[in-house]
Amino acid sequence: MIKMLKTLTLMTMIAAAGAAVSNAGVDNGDQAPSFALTDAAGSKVSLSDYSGKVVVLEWTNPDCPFVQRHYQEGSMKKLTSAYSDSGVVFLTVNSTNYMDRDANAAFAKKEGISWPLLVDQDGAVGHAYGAQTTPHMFIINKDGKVVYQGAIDDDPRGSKDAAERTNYVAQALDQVLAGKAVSTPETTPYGCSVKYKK
Amino acid sequence: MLSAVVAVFAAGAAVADDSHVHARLVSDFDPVDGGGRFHLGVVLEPEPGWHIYWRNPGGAGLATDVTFELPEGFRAGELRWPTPVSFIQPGGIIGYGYESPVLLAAEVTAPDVTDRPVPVYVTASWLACKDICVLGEARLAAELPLDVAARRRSAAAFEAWEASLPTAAEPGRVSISTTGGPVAAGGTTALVVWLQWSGAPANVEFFPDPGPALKVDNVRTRSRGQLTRVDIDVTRIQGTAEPAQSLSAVVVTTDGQGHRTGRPLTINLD
Repeated sequence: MIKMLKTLTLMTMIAAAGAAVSNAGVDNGDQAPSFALTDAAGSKVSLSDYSGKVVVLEWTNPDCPFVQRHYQEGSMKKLTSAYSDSGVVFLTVNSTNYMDRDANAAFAKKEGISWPLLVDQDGAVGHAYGAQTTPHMFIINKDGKVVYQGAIDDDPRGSKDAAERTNYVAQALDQVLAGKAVSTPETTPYGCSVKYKK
Repeated sequence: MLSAVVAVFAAGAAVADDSHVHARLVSDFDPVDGGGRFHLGVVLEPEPGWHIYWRNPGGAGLATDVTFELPEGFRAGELRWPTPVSFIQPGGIIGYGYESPVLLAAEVTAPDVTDRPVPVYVTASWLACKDICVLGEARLAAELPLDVAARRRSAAAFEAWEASLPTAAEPGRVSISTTGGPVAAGGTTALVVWLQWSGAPANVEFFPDPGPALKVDNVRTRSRGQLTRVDIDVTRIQGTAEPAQSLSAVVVTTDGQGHRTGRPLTINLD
């Protein structure tokens, strides 16, 4: 009896001692954090510019081998061309601390990125969303709520045939556009860690 | 097929260097010992300042992968993972893995005692990171048994390896309970894992090993005397794998001499 009381007392003490610092980030169903960033071309871009639209956010870093593989395979271009007719907006965000606007402009030019590439060098927007990897994908529905977050697909090593891969973003977009619930709303993202400033 | 394999062995491909990691094939196979069960694996040694990742890489990264190509009748068991370390990547992103040489290996069973050379391939692939990340791979080949000197080095490596693997705790050493469950589908559950120790460890670390059906974030570990509290956020990944009934983890205690011991845990989620 005394041992149990002592344990309970310790549990209460540990519960009270120091609030845990939790990572910023969004839960599905939350309102997507608003942001205003400058893109690689120098234009100001805010999430509120796209109010009422489905928005896909892709976290990127051209120095990351996972990003390099996806750009070689044209993953983002395939998504943008498949869904732009449906009015889906694609935004790429770069929270890499050592890449300024010029570096991002060079990347956009090299890869032919025709959609906004947002420069988040101080990492504030990355932290607001809880972006952990490059790539890390988020889908925001027309009501501004996050409805998907996680990996772009189920193939971190790129070892599956393209036909065998499940692209979680395409799958979720099909469901969102059809007014259905997202069947896989959250997956573990894969990739290099976002290179936030220390 | 066999002649092609022998041709590669002539090139001595049991070691390789790629992407800041030195890889070396090790095996204690010795037909004189009866040869029925032996170990086969690879020592991966990251360059100073670089790390590779554990089976669960943490908030980012890529699990190291090791596969075996064996002759007919030889069967490799599960790959075994030595107790990892954790590191914080910029932005507070936790990583689990290895900063010093690690032996990733499996137990292999042979179909019968043989004194013919046994050709094997061990392929390791990894993500090595320091300030940037680089993918690496090595396909190592050997004819077993290795030469006497290599066999002796391997035997020593496997002895140390056994001690580096997470091992079940002695009965009564630790008792586990959880609060905050069950972990429902949809949404994220804040689970608390309570560990009651029979002695008071100097330090306690918690390494979740969620597998394909779960996502674990935000691990916070606090200890006071004989009680440790681990807060974790658990999310079920829907529409992919079979739902998980439990969460595996490795809990690591450090004793007064600074020696780390890993213990596997199973945490019920229902």
